[in-house]
Amino acid sequence: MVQDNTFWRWKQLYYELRQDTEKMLMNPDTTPVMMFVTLASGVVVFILIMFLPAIFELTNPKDSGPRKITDEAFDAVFQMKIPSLERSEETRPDQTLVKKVASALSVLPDLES
Amino acid sequence: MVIVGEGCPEEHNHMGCFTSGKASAGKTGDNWNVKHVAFGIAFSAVLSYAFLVSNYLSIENGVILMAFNFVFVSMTFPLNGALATKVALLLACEVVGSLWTKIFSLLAGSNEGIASVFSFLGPFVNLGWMITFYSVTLTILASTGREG
Amino acid sequence: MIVEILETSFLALVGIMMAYLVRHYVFTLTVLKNSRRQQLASCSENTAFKSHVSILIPACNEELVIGRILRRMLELTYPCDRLQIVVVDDGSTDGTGRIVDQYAENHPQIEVIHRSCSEGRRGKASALNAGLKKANGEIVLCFDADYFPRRNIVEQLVREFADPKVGAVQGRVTVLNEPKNIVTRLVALERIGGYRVDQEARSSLGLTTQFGGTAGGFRRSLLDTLGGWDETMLAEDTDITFRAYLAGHVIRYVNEAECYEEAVESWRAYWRQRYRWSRGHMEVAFKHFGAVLKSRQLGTRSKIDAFLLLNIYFVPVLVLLSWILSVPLALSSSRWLSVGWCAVSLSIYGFVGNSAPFFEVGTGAYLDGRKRAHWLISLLFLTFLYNIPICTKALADLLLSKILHRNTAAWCKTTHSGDGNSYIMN
Repeated sequence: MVQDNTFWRWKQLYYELRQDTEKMLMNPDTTPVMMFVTLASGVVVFILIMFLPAIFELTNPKDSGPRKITDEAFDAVFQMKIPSLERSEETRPDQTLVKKVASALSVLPDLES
Repeated sequence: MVIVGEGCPEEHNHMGCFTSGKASAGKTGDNWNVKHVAFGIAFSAVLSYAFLVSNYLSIENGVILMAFNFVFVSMTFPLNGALATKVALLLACEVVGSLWTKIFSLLAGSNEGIASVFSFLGPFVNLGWMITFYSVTLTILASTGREG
Repeated sequence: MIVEILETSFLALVGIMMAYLVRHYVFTLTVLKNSRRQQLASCSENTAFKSHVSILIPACNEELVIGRILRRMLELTYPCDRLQIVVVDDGSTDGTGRIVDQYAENHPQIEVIHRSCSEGRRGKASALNAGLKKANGEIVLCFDADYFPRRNIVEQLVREFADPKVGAVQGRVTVLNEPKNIVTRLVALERIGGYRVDQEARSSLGLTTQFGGTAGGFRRSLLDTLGGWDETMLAEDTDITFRAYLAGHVIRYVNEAECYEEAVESWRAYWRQRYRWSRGHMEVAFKHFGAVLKSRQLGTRSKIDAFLLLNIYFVPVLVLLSWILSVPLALSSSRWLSVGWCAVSLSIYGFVGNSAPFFEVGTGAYLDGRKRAHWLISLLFLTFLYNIPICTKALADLLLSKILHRNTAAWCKTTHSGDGNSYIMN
């Protein structure tokens, strides 16, 4: 029962939001400036979301390479070029998020059994 | 001569005979996970049909989502990783993608000027989220594939 | 009537772009399917085939990097008595000649050809031909001066020549200075897509594998038959690729034969390099277009792929043309515009960077075991947009030079900073 109420509330909220958005955009009193602001903010949000992983990787590179070509004759000795990239490093938001998502997905039931 | 780089050898297992003995995230299954691919195609076909039939999205946006499903399934389902993980990631992409296109449709439907701008930007916008989700999916599959 | 012509042209352009997308899609699936088998096969090296090898290293003002590659040449595991290294100092005005002479004095397998500014500086092809005259090996490999190969790269490449059909081989190129800045990281991604997936797929499908001009080589007999490199061509590597295929030979790609290179580090250098590549490639396209279509040496699939490969640098120009065509179609409310527009916009991510779709780059990065490098794929559309004016200018300049009968073959090389040395320690 509680779950049904929650679901119904979310659905109601969604419809209200939708109607409000439509009203706002179709309002003849809506000035071009408001429309431009709405459009611009939508584009900015889109760009941010689209480039978020790239921004994370550029600002805090975890895989900047170079790809290591090991030689056959010996196992290459890899040295840490940048001290902050040690394995026991402090977690960053993006790394934490990926780990959380990966661990959450790993407990899903095995669909193949 | 020593090659300097980040990480340890076990972290970056690269292809080639010098890593043949070690497990690596960057592999496909022995049988190329054909079953996963087949399941994924069937699942995404059902999802796409549901979207089209429900009229939640326009036909154009529905077709774009279908095309994305096909590319996503064929490019990620053959990789290492549990089927459940892949299905969950596909569902996440569907939810985000459908919401995204729906929001843009709402905005576009409000005004002719905005509609023409979005009809121009629309396909690029869709590709934006597709590529972002695709690249994050690869990371998650690589993480779960290594642990599993 | 005009609208119908515009619509037909627009749809034709869309069809061409779709053909490229399908081609790359097939390549990616092929590599995904074969990746496990390739890994197991690569472990069994056929070391029985060990012929005499000559390595050509053309160099013009490479004092910052020439020492590195020569040191590496001395560390190669290939038997010294079957290895000859020929360095062509092509009119260098810096310390390149001095450095090379020092190495040649102490190591008999290194030989030097010094060319004066008046004698040399006529392009890489000319330098390679000069080196070829001194080469005495049955196999001739080429490395650029800024490269740093695996120690057993010669064995990796040479073993493919055990197959008599193979006329040439191409190894893999990996960016050494990848962490430097965003340009080097994007170029590294392009390389991953281009070599790990594109070249690999073309080689395994028996299509047109491209010789990239470095980290690869030819049978001496084939080079003699072809008359060496064409000194009038800017893209001598692409030209010799198609001449080899038209002569009935095959080029094989060897993914394990890896070699580091220094990528361009600025957008300006990127422009210069891609301008040279696109103009050279288009020049080759004009030269071999007819011969490829009429060739009896190539099967139908190979012909189609060779045709698509020849014209790949025209694609950014075609994309620009389709965008221009879409304007009058939009004004005339053409019913085909919305249908075609989706496909055209796909080309933005269908040809990211150096003409590899996003899924090709992503798959290559995944197979390489990369963790987050593919998060930068969304930025690759910047390089594609950048390639549009590059290729357009290259085409315009090429057409102009053909009309005015101007030959511009010269050393148009990438300046190497030697910053990759910081990743390699003694």
